[in-house]
Amino acid sequence: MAESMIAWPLDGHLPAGRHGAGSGEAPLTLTELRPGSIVEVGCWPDTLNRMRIVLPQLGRNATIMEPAPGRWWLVSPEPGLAQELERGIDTGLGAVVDLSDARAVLQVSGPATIELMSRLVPLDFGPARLSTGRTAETIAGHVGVTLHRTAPDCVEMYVFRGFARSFVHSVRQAAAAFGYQVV
Amino acid sequence: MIIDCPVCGPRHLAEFSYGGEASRTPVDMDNTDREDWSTYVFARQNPRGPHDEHWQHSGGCRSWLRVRRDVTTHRIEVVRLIGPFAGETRS
Amino acid sequence: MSGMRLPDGGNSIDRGQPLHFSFDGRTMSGVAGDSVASALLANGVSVVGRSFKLHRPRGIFAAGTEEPNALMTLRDGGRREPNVKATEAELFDGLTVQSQNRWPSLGFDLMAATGLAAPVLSAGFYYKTFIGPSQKAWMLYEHFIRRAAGLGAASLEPDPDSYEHAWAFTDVLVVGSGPAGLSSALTLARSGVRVLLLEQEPGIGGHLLQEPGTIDGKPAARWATNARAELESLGARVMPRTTAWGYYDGNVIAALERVSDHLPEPLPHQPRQRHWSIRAGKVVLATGAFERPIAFAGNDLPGVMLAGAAERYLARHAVVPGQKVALFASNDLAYGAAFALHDAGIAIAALIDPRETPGDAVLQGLRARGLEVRTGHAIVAAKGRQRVRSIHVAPFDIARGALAGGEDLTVDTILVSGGFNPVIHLASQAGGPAQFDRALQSFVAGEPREDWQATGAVTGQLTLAGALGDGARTGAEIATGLGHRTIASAVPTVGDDRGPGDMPAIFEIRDKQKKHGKAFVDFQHDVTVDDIRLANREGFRSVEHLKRYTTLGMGTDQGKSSNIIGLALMADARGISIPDAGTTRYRPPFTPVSIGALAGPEVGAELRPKRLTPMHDWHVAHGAEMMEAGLWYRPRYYPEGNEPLEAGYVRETAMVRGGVGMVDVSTLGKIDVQGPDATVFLERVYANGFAKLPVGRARYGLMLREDGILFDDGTTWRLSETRYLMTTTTANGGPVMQHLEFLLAAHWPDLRVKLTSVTEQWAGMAIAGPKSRDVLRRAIADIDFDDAAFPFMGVRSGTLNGVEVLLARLSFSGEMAWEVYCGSHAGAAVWEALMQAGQPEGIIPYGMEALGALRIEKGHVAGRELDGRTTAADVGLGRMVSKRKNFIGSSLAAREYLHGEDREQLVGLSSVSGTKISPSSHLVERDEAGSGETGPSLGHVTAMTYSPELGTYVALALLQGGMKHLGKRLTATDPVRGKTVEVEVTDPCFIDPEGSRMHG
Repeated sequence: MAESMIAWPLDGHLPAGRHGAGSGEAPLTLTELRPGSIVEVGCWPDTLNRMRIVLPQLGRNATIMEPAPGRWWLVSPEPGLAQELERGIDTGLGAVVDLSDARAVLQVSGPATIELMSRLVPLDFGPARLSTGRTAETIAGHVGVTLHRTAPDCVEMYVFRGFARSFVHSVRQAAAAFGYQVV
Repeated sequence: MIIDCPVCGPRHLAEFSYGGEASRTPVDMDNTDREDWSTYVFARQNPRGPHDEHWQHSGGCRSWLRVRRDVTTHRIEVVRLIGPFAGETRS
Repeated sequence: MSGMRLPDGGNSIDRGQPLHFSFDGRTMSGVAGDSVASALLANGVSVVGRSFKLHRPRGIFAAGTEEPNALMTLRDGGRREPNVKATEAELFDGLTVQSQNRWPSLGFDLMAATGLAAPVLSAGFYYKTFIGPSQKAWMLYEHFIRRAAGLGAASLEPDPDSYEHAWAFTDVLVVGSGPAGLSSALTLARSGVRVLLLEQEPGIGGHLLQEPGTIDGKPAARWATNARAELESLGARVMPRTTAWGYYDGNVIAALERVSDHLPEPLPHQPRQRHWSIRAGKVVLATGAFERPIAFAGNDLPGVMLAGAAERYLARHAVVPGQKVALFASNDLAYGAAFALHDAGIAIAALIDPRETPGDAVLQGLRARGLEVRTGHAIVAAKGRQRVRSIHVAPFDIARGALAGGEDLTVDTILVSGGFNPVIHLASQAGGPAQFDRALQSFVAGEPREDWQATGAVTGQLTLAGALGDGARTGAEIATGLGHRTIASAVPTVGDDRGPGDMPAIFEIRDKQKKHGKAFVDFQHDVTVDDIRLANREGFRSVEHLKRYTTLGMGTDQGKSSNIIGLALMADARGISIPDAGTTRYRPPFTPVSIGALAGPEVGAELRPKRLTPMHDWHVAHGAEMMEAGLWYRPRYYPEGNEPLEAGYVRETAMVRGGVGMVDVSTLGKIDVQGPDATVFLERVYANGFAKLPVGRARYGLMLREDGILFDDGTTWRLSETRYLMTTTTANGGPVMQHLEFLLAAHWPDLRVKLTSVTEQWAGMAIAGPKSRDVLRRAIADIDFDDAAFPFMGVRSGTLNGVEVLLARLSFSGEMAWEVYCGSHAGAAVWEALMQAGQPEGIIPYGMEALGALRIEKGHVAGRELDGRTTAADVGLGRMVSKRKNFIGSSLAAREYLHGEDREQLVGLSSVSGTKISPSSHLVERDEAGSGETGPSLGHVTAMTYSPELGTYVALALLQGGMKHLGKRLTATDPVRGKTVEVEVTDPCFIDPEGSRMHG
C-alpha cells in the first residue's frame, strides 16, 4: 500500500520540541510508535500448550505479549504479519485478527516515566506487579489501554484509535508538570 | 472495592462490570421449558452475606469472573476465572 | 490585651522572610512559616469571625484541623475560596484574607442583634418555628435567616487552576507523622518495607514540633527532621500537605495533596491540588488526639483557646495569645502551655485545676517557677464583650459541681484543657463501633474491618516515650508479618517526658443559677449545653436524633471539638453512661475536599473522552456541524453557507434519493467472530437463521435478550467457513460484545469461538443512491459490480489505490447502497478517493440527520424503537424470528404477555396538514367534541422527519394495537412545547415497499 494512503492517528498531535515545566533535558520523551503490524491471536483450550510453542516460531521477530490466557498480541515493525500468521494458524489451532489499524501507540520514556504513569493509570509498577517486560490492560480516564513496560523507564501504551487524540491530550497535560520532549 | 482478577491482579471496582447472581445454572439450549428459563432469568436469591456473582473485567483483560462477595462487608472471599480458560494463568 | 509575636524563637518560622497580607482590608505582616491563624494572633487580632446562628464574636480556638471558629475566605477572583480554616492555611505574600458571617463589619455586626433574641433560637428552633402548623412564618423569615446564617461565598468565576488525580501503591501506608507515625515508619523502612507516610501539615513531626522534651538528647523537632531525612534516604515516600480523608473497601485510602495552596498561584504546569487513591497492603493509623475543651459560661469568647494550641503557637511561631493568662485544665499535659508561656515572660495570672492535685512532675514545675495552682477550683464563667476580660473562679467538687462563692480575676486569655479525644475518624470509617476508654473518658477505635493498626495517641498513648515505643512496636510487628527480617529498632531515649496524669470526667462547669450566660458545646453551630438538655426533654435522645435536632457536629468542622462533650452531656441528662448513650460513626471526608480535586482533569472539554472516526478531520474541514453520539463525534449535516439544519438535511436526503451520497459509518460496532463453532454460535445468539448463510454474503440479524425482548440488530458478513464480521448499532457495540462474551464464558465454554472487537480496525462508509454503482465502478477496478456478480447482500473484497477494501451491498436508506470498509489508517484517504471518484455524479457527504430521514422514510428501526421494551413483532419483524431453532430469548419471547393485542407496535404517521410533528409527542384520540380532554396516551412518536419525496412531515411511532389502526386519524401532542398536530396512521415503510430500488 502506498504510504500516502496512511494517516497515523497522532500525526500532528505530538508537536516536536521541548514542552511543559523546566528547561534543558526533559525527564520525559513522548513518541508515537508506528508498528506495521498489531495482531491478536487466540486459541482453544485444547490448543493452549501447542500455541504457546508454535507462536514464538511463527511470530519470528515480533514482540509477543500474553495479556490473558489463550490470548496474545504480536507487534512487529513490518506490515503483513496477520496474513503471515493466518497461513501458519488454521482454525483448528486458533484465530488470527489483524488490529494493526485499531490502536494508536504512544511510547513514554525517561526517568519520570513511572511517576507520570501514577497520574494516568491505577497500576502498581512495583517489582511484584508491572515489572519490565510485562503487560497490563487497564483504563486511563475512561479509555481502555494496554501497557507494555519495555524497560524500567519505558512504557508503550496502546489505545483505541478513536480515543487517541483525547488520550494523548491527557498524557501531555500530565507530562507537562514534569516537562517533556517530543522527538 | 478491589477485585483480585486471576489474570491481572488486584484492580479497582471501576474496571469491572457487574454480571448478576452466579448461583443460577444456565439453562441448556435444548431445554425449551419456559419455567426453567423464567427461573434462570428472573429468580434471584439475594442473600444477606456471602453472595456468588459474575463480574467482567471489562476495563482490563475482559475475562468473566465468578466472585464470592459478602454483600454486607464487601469482603471478597474467592475470585475464579470462568469460561474456556478457567483455571489457566498467563505463561 | 491580645496576642503578639515574641522577639525570639519559633521552630517553624523564618524571620528573614517577611510576608504581607491583608485581613478585611487592613494590611498586616507575618513571616514565612506562619499559618493565617498564627499571623493574625501575632498582629493582635482577637475577633476573627461571627458565629453562624447567634453572630457572637469568636476568636482563634485551636491550632489545627479541629478549629471551629476561624473560617476565612482566602484570595480573590477565580481563586477565591470560602470557609478555609485559618489554622490550616499557610500564609503567603500578598494573600487576601476576609472574615465571614459578619455584616457590615467584624467589630460592629448588625446581625449580632439576633443575640438579643437568643433565648428563642434554641435547639430545633427552625423546625418549631418554620415547619409545621404555620408555614407562612418560614416564608416570611426565610430571606432573613438565609442571609444571617451564611458562611462564605464561593467565587462565581471559573477556577483558573488545574487538578490532578494520581494513584499510589505501597506495602504500608502510615497516616500521621507525629512520634508514633514517624517511629513506626522508621522501623518499617529500616526493615526494607515499602512505606508511604502522609502528613496533613506542611512540616513533618506533628506533636514533636511543640514537645518540650528531648529525644536522644536533641530537641524533639530536630529528631523529626532527622527522621524524615533517614526515611527518604531509605526510599520511603514522605508526603506533607496531604490529608488522608477517606478509608474505603480493599484498603484504599483517599488523600488530598495541597500542592499549591501555600502559593499565590501554582507554579507553571503544576496543579493546585492532587487527589490520591492509595492502595496499601497495611495501614498504620497514627492520627493522634485532639484536645478536648470544657464547657463553661462564656467559653466561646475570643481569648479562650485550647492549651495545646497556645503551646504550639509559641513553640512553632513564637506567638502568644495574650498577656495575662489563666490555665483551666483537668490533666497534667496542659500545664506545659502555661509553663512555656511563663518561661517566655508572659504573666500566668491563675492556674485552675478541678482535681485534688496535679501530678508530681507538674508540682515540681510549679515550684521551680514559683507558680501556684488553685486545685479543687473551676472557671465558672468567662466575662467580656469582644474578648475575655475576667473570669469567675469558684471552688469545685467533682461530685457536686461548682460551689457557691469564688471570685473574679482579671485575665485576657483562658487556656482550657479537659482531656484528649483520639482521632478515630479513619478507623471508624473502616472499623467496628468505637469503644469507650475509661482512663481517657473518650472513645478509641473499634475492631478493624480493613487491614489497619492504630498506634500512639490515637490509642490513648499520650506520653512521648509511649508513642515512640508504640509506633516502633507496631512497625516491627507489621514488618515481621510481611516476612521481613526486622532490624531491631532502637526506641530512642526521651528526656523530660510528661504524662497526662489522672483525667477525671469533667465536661462542663454547670452554672446552675444561670447567672453567667451561655455555655457552648459546638461553637460552629452555636449549640449550647442547654440545647442538649432541651433536646433530651423533648425526646430527641438518641445520638442520631440529638445530632439532627440540635445540628451538633454538623458544621464544616464536623464536631471535632464538640461531639464527645455533647454526648457526655446527653448521657448525664439521661442518667446513663457515655458508652450507653453511644457514638455516631464518622464518615468521609475527614476534612472538606474541594470539588475541583474530586473532578480532577475531567472538566470542561475534557469532561469525557472524545471518540473520533478516521475521517473526522475531513468532516470538520468540509464544514460539517458535528454532534455527539455517545462518546463519538459524527457529522450532523454539512451546511452550505448559512443553511439551516432542516434545509440541509432535506437537501442531503433528496440528493441520496436522486443521485449519490456518502456517510461515515465507522462508528458501527464491529466484532470478528471466528472459530470452528462460529456458525453454531451465531445460530444461538440470533433470532433468525444463520446456518445456511453462504460465504460472501451478509444477513440482517436480530438479537434478543434472554427475556425475549429485542436487544440489537445489524448485519453479519460471512467472510469464510469459520469467520464472520458482525456489525452492531453504534450505541450497542459495547453491550453486545459483553453479552456475547458472557454467553461464551458462562453458558458455552465448550464452543471454540473467538470474539474480537474490530470497531476501531475498520473505517466504514456507506455510499448510497441510484448513482452509487457508477462511482464505485470508477474507483474500484477489481470488483464486478453487476447485479449478477455482486447481488444485494453480497460481500466482496478488492483494492482502491492499493488499499484493501471490503464491500457489502447493504441498504439502510432504501436506495442502492454499499458499505465500504478499509483499515482505519487508510480511512481518510479512501473516503477522499471516493469523493473524488464521485465528482461526475455530484456526490455529496451526508450526515446523521439525513441518515435518520432516510431510515424513517423506509421504516427501518433504530435505537428509539429498540427501547428495551419492544419485541421483534412489535417493530414488524416478527416473521424473522425462527420457529425451527432454539436461541437466546426464544423460550421467553413466546410468553403470552409479549403477544398481547394492545401492545405498542410500530406504525408510520403522516402529518395531515403538513405541519411539523414534535418528536416528543404522545398520541391521543382526536378531541372531536372539543371538550379539551385528551384522554390517555395511546403511544408515542419515536422519530420524525420531513420527507422531501412525500412533501410532508412523517414519523415513526409506537402505538397501542399498531397497524390495526391503519388510516386512523389521531392527535400527536407535545404539551410541554405546546405542539399539537393531526396525524394519520400509515405503514411505517413510506417509500418503495417492494425494495426495487435497493435490489437494483
